Amino acid sequence: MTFREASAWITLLVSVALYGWYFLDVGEDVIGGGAPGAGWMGRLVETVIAIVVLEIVLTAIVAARAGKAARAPQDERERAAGLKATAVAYWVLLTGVISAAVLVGILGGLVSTGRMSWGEAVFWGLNGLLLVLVLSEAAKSGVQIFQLRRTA
Amino acid sequence: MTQAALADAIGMTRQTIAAVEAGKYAPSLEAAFRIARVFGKGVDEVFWWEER
Repeated sequence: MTFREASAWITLLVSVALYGWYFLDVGEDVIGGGAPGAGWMGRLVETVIAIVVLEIVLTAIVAARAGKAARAPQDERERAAGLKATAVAYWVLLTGVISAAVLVGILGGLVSTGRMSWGEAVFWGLNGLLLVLVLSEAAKSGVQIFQLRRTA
Repeated sequence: MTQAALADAIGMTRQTIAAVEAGKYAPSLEAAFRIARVFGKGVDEVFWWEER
């Protein structure tokens, strides 16, 4: 496994695991129509910090084991895999952003008619956008891994 | 010559060289010329293409 494939695996697994935990954690509060629990934004910040720290630590460990291969520039196969992954992630992101825009419109309507509080709308809007970002990054890492494995 | 040595000689990863040898990855024209030059042969002596 190359350093770049290992990095992609780290990004994919750490993101899916920690963001998955976050969405399940805050989701428990709202399943069945409940209100988002207090401190959900704090949990989001903790999740992001944990992801950043974990990715840095794991990537540093893999880089140390890879030696000079980690410092070498991407070769053409790795660049091609990265380009393909970015192209797929772009479409996931575009679809997600359009969906999020529709969601924001719906949330605005609910807030303006008094059927939802501003705080709840912020909760759903921000988490909707976060989900879009997580899915597009997962798609990018996943496609990158698939391309590297397919041509390995 | 090992895959790693060839990879170092032309600036690619060992895994890419292995993929080229296994027919799972088609190198660019530049990479093909670099590989052929390492062996002191022409591109058509090192690479060939078969209709699938």
